[in-house]
Amino acid sequence: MSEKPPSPKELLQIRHDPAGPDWMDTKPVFRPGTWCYGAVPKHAEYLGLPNPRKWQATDEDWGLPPDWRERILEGLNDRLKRFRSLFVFMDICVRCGACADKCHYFLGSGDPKNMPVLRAELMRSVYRRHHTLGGKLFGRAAGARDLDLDVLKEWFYYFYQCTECRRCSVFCPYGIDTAEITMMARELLNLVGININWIVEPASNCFRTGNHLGVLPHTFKDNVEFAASDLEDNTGVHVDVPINRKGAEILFVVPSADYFADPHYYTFLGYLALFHEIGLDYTFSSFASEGGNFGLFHSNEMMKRLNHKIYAEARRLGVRWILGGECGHMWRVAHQYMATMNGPADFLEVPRSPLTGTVFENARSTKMVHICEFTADLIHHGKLKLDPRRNDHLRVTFHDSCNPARAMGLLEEPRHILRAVCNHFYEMPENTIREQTFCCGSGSGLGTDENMEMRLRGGFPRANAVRHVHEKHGVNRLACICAIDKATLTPLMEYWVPEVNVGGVHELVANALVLKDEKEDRDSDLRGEKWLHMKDDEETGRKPSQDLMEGMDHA
Amino acid sequence: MHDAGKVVAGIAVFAGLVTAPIWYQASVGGAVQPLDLSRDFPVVRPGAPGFEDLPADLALNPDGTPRECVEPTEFMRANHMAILDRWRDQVVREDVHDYRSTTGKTWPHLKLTGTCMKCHQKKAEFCDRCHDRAGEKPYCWDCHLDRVAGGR
Amino acid sequence: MKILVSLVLVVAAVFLALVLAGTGLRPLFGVALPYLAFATFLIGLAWRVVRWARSPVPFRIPTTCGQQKSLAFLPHSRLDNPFTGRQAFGRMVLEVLFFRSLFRNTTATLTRDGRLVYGSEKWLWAAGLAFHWSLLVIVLRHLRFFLEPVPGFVEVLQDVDGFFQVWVPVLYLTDLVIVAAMTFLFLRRVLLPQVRYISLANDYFPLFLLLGIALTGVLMRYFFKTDLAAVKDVALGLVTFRPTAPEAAGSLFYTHLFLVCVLLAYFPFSKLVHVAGVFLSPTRNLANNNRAERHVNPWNPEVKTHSYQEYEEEFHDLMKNAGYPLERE
Repeated sequence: MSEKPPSPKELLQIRHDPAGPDWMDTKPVFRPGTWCYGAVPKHAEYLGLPNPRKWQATDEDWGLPPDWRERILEGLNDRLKRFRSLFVFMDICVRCGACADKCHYFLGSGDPKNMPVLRAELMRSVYRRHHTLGGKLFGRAAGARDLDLDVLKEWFYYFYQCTECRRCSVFCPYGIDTAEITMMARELLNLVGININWIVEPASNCFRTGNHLGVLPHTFKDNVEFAASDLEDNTGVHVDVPINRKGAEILFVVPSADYFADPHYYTFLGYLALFHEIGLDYTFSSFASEGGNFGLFHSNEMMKRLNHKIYAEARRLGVRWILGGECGHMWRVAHQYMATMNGPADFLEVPRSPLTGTVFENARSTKMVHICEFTADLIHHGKLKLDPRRNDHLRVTFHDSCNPARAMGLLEEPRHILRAVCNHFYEMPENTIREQTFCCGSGSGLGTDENMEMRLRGGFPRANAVRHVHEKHGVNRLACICAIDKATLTPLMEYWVPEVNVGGVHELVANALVLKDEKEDRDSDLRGEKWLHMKDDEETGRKPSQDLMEGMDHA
Repeated sequence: MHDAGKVVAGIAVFAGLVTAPIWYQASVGGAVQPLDLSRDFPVVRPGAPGFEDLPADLALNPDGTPRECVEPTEFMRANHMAILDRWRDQVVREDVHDYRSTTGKTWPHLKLTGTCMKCHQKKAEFCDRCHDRAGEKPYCWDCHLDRVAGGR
Repeated sequence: MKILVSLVLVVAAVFLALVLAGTGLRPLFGVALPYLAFATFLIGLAWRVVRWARSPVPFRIPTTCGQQKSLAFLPHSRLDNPFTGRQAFGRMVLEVLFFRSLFRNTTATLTRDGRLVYGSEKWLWAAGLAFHWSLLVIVLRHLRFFLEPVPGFVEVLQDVDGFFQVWVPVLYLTDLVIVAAMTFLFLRRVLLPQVRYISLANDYFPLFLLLGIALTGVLMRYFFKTDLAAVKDVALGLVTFRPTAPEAAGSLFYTHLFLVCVLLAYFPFSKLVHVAGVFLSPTRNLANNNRAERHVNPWNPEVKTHSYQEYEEEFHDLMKNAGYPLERE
């Protein structure tokens, strides 16, 4: 990061009542902290992307091909013919303004072009110029404008200030989804080599090594084994973690940060503990070692390229179905795109929980089940022995990740789990959760450090809600089910609400999980924090094994 | 075209709805003639049956010309309801019974049944023809009698 | 400026019609333009829909606004997160008839001590609903001019709309409501900084046009009366293809009709196509059953992929040393 971000007080010197010149007459200023670096040529080349070169948004010359304008206009034309969503969304906005104050970036920056409607108008104005009668005849009077270099730069600035979170789409009376428009805009920008390294490099890594972080197979194995030994230290339970094991019942796919980054790691330990406890017949794949898919933030073709390995590995390893870990955009891809792109998955079986016998009819075609669906089902059937007191040192709130909330509707499963594994669970205000949840501010490939100011701004509405429950209920743990959340909510909390830390749901599951073969003196959570009730028990002389809550049955 | 079935059905429903009046007239309505308002008015003119029954002050104008309406025909077609409404308010609330017309003439002691319907005696032929055609359902006859005593 | 241009255009249209309808050009306003405008509206809107429909829906991308259908013990939100076509239909009904999504609207305010607070904001929803429903009732009421005999439901509608029986002719509630709602929507567009900032001339023009239509209609009904028999002759003449443009219908009527013609002709080329577009919105009209029923993309592209074999080949030695089971030893 080039500059220290402003203080929270400075950051909030914003107004939400735009005034001044017409938006067509203003240009973005590429201030440090508000934009992302251009893609490094070697990664663009590895993926075969057009116009690989070294460039930055602040360069005078962006190094565009001479026919960049034609390429983009042709690309737009082509996409109008391929995506009804784009075509309809270009035409039907009435500018009612319902979306205006729904975007976290607008709320956190006050920049009027971060109002979803205006973000879309950036493209609509060009669309009108070339595809509508009014725009052709009356030009600017009809809200149309030519695509020139300034417009292109504006596209880059603002379409990389949208995290494709879809919150605006919830409120739009026609369901206009700015995420869809941003996705199209990014595809168009990619046609002339305008893209950001924080998306292209992970995509390139993922294509080659199977995961965004570029973790090579031997390191993958090391990391997993290291996690297993950490788990053993903490719980006394020895866990064998299968990798690339043919004939397993289930292929388990996680975002790569889970076995690489903090605090994701504790969630990873959580999976291992849970699977060990229930004796799940599963395997990891060192190649399908990434459920996340930065192709989603690049183009539909790239998404398909990166997603291809999931079914391919499921087929090669001969599993029956696929289980997916805690990740946001991974689940947008798995739920809304995977089977369409790389299916049909007719070589797999309809997922069925080996422990409860529950058949996941809602996944009968894609054959991939969310870990929260799986675990909620286990808890419902009383298959887990849980002691929620083991999370008593945590006062938990839950952040709905954009994609599972608004592109899937996975709302109750994690809550069902949380209510079973901890005694202190508090919801944030209703305008900030479930389908109205606020983005972490760093989704869709924008979670890079040079973009920190925008991230802190975009994350402000989320942090504001967390601060509310922190002050009201003493919340000190923000639980979530997304790898990007875990990575980016952490600095966000440090900045806005430093008393709250971040973790996954399955970390809390494993904390509360009473393992059959756990060590007698297991006395702390996965992070090594002493359990409160153990302290109490020491004082009262009671045995920790007393009062264990049996697996909960809400039937 | 994709989803052709649904799209064509949708367009067909839309086109059917917005052109419904055409189909309605073609089937239910049959041949509709413009209403000829110049004919068949049961207006009682001097010499006509019933003319003698009219009160003397309405039968002839003071100068002996044939009796005329309070306002010109064109004006009455558009504005009669407003005039009736105003009369009612004037008579009931202000005890004013005279009417000063747009032509500058003052007409004394006006009434719906007693004045208008003295001449325009057949409600069915005079009032209802237009009202029904325009879908109007004035509530005049909620209170007023629709025929003059001794009228037809 | 955008406001002024739109206003001037509508006012100009009003004067044009007021003046010219009194001349020999009356048949233009009573006959030719209505036919032309209606044809443009009908064909134009159908053409817009066909154009949209020629583009496929490659991915099933509903925006989910409630709990998905998954485990039997979790209550599924059928209308906000439909799982079947019928449920998606129900969602569309709520959306089209009651503006479900707009009903969620909130307003965010940043307080002085740096807190974001959210309030319920139902005015836009209420005004939008009031405007659209009034417009529908008014259009249906106008069928009394186009249909002979006047069907019962139109009379019922008039009775209900004129329920309070005030004024002569009876005051229709929808006339009041639509003018009030449009005035609110206009004021909102002008007074709210966010909405003013995003507004285009294309937003003010239809608003003024509709307001012009409503006001000329109100003037004609309640203030400067016109000969309804003549109006009915015009309307019936149009739908029976025996058009006529009698002078008796009056200039105000022809002005009203002209503004309607402008609206109809403008309709397919404007944002007003949202009327049709909302039915084609893929975030609303599809069931969120992606994992249960595979959605097919007709142009599913061939892409360059990376196979496990290529992967194993590149990292063969590393994998072997790490003790991985290999496809090729």
